[in-house]
Amino acid sequence: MTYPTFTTGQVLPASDLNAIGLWLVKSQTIGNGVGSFTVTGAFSSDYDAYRIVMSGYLNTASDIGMTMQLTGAGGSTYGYWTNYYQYGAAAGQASAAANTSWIMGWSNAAGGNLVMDMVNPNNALYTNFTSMNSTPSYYMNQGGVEKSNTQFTGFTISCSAPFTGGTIRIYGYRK
Amino acid sequence: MATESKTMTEEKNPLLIQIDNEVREMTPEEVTAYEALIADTPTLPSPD
Repeated sequence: MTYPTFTTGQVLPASDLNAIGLWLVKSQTIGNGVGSFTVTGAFSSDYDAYRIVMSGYLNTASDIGMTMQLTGAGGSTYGYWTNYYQYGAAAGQASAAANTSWIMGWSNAAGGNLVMDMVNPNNALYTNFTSMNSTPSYYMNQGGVEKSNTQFTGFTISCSAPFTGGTIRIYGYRK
Repeated sequence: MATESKTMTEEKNPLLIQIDNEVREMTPEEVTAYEALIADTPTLPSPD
């Protein structure tokens, strides 16, 4: 179907609303000076898959890994791989097989944007993610798995270069 | 060449944590957990 347009006061047909693919679940401002921020109530049985967008985030320094830990899973159940590409120059990788968190992105002192997809965080299954972001000197992409079969409801992102701002939004993909 | 860490006599800013919309200083337990999380965090090479 073509994308519907709505007007003020219009009766909204269920067929249009039920075709909405992404739904905003939560939006949170990232505080100034925080080394770690937690989002609660991000995941539920309403969705199997989520898109997480960090918009205009800022850190005190660039190119330092940002970790994500799913709430309640602090053991060595995380595997990840990250690829980084310097513009017009060298590329490299980093990975870990049995870590206590993911590297899901990289800090940015000039204002960054990150897009992440996550599948099955609230199902009793492995949780998977892919993400990509860029900094003034690098483009990076990441992916990984968490293998505890835990049903998660939130997460914490941390960085040794504290955050100084930005917004994080969590969207659910309609089942 | 190893980079020297800050000495104990230098004043350190308190570590802050945010949970949803609440920002506050980390508790000692939260500091321990945070430092463990960032201990092995990679840093990219300085750009050419």
